[in-house]
Amino acid sequence: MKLRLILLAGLALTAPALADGTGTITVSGSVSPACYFGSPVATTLNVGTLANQADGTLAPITPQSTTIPSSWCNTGSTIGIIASPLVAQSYIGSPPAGFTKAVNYTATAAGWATNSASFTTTGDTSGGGNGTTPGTQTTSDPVAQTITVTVSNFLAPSAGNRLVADPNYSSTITVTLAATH
Amino acid sequence: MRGANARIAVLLAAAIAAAAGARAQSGPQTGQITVTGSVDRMCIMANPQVNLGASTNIGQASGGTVTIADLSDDQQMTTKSTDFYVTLSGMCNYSHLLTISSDRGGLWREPAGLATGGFANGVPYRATVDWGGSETVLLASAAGEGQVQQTLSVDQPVVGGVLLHFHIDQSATNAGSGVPLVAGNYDDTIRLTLGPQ
Amino acid sequence: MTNRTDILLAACLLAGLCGPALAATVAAQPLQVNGDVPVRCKLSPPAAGTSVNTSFAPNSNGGDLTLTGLVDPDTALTRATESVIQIPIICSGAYSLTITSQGGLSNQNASAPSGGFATHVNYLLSANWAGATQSVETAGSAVTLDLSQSGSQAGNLSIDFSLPAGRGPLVAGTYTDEITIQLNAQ
Repeated sequence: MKLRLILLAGLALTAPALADGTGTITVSGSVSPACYFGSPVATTLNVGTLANQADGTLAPITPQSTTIPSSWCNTGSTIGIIASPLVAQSYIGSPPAGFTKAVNYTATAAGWATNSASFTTTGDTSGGGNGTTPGTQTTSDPVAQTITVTVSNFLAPSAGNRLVADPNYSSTITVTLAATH
Repeated sequence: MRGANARIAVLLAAAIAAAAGARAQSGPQTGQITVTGSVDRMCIMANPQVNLGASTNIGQASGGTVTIADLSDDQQMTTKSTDFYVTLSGMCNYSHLLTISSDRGGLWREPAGLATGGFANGVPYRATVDWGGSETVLLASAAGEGQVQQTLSVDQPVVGGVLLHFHIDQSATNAGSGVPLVAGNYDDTIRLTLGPQ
Repeated sequence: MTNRTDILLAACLLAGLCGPALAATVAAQPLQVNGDVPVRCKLSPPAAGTSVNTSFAPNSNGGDLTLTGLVDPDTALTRATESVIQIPIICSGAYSLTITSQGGLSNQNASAPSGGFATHVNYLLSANWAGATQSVETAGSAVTLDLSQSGSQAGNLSIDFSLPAGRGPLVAGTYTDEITIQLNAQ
């Protein structure tokens, strides 16, 4: 007869005295607050041609989305989102008068909290001067949801700006999940 | 309880393991998404507009045709000074080349033919173009009938107006200053393009 | 997980081959400039050339050719008289050029010959222009030399008045004729 005892971290078992009668083993454990960020279905959202072919200004851009499934937090949490303006990667220096090498837009993270977390870029014609405070939303309960990230509301820094030619305008959206307690 | 034959396996987990591996953490978790787009190289030019108010010796301008009121002086029978200005809006969103060209290299009689002794059949002119803060001059010297062109290299995107100034000097002819012009209709075609360097 | 478009974009960026096709040249509406040179003709004041027994005085209408020794005072017969007058002409295109005589030298004071004396004497009128010469002997009524051309021309029109000696004898009086040079752009 073997009594196998497996001792793991966080547990303590007091060895019962071998005697007639009953003994009590108290078992206890804890779960730390944690969050898990799933893998986005698409890590790149290509919004395509940015300029109006008639006059070179910003064309209407259709919003695009991707989802981040299997994300969870086992406690209350804060979701944050921050983005950088779309900037022409090959254009060196500031664009001349009447032109921009940056396009602003709004990035939202929906499906986590009651309201979407949102951030609107505010870059100038060179992409500078963007905000640094992410848009956030907080939940008080654990959540396991698919997060939907959407880009929309594309705008040039000033109305009428023409866009400098570049095959590669690029920006980055960062989504953050953090347990709050 | 001695004698009991029991097997107890107790497995206690200290933490809940993530199904995909140990990626769940207590600290903030971040993910990044890249947004991309593109802008094609493009140039646009509107139709030219002739500013009659600032012109001299111009009869009329309509569409893309400018008609000089009187190409020859009625006393000396040689070329009469002429000026007109043309503006057109343009845009290029990349470093580019502006080209101005003349089909015939001067205002030539149509047909040019051979001028008889003591007469001229061609009128030289110059066309000055201002664009994007730079300037170039096309000299259509009427030295011989044929195309001439001039280019202006612009190393940045530009949006704004192209300004063209057309000028004929008083008495200027292809046979020398002050030579009378053979009667007839004289013409040339000026072309402006924007394109790659 | 990236989609196929992203993978292709990344690949062509690495190869340096992607981006839009080379932008085409764009042309503005061509500017056609034209001007008309009408046919114009200009007739400048004449100047005297060779002269025998004549004197020429130009004026705003052309000039007066005076026959200083029309007849021999002993015989009343004409003396050899000649005058060449040069008139600068320029025409930038087709033109008509005519020289018209009223028909010879006629006596302004006597209309009818008498006693064997004449009141009219003819002369030879010649005109040289653009390499061509036309001549006519007056015969009492108007006569025209036509030197019109279809192209531009510049140079001197030469009018040659020639009266041989020995014509007449002539009644006393003033003998006149009028030579009209008419130049018109066509």
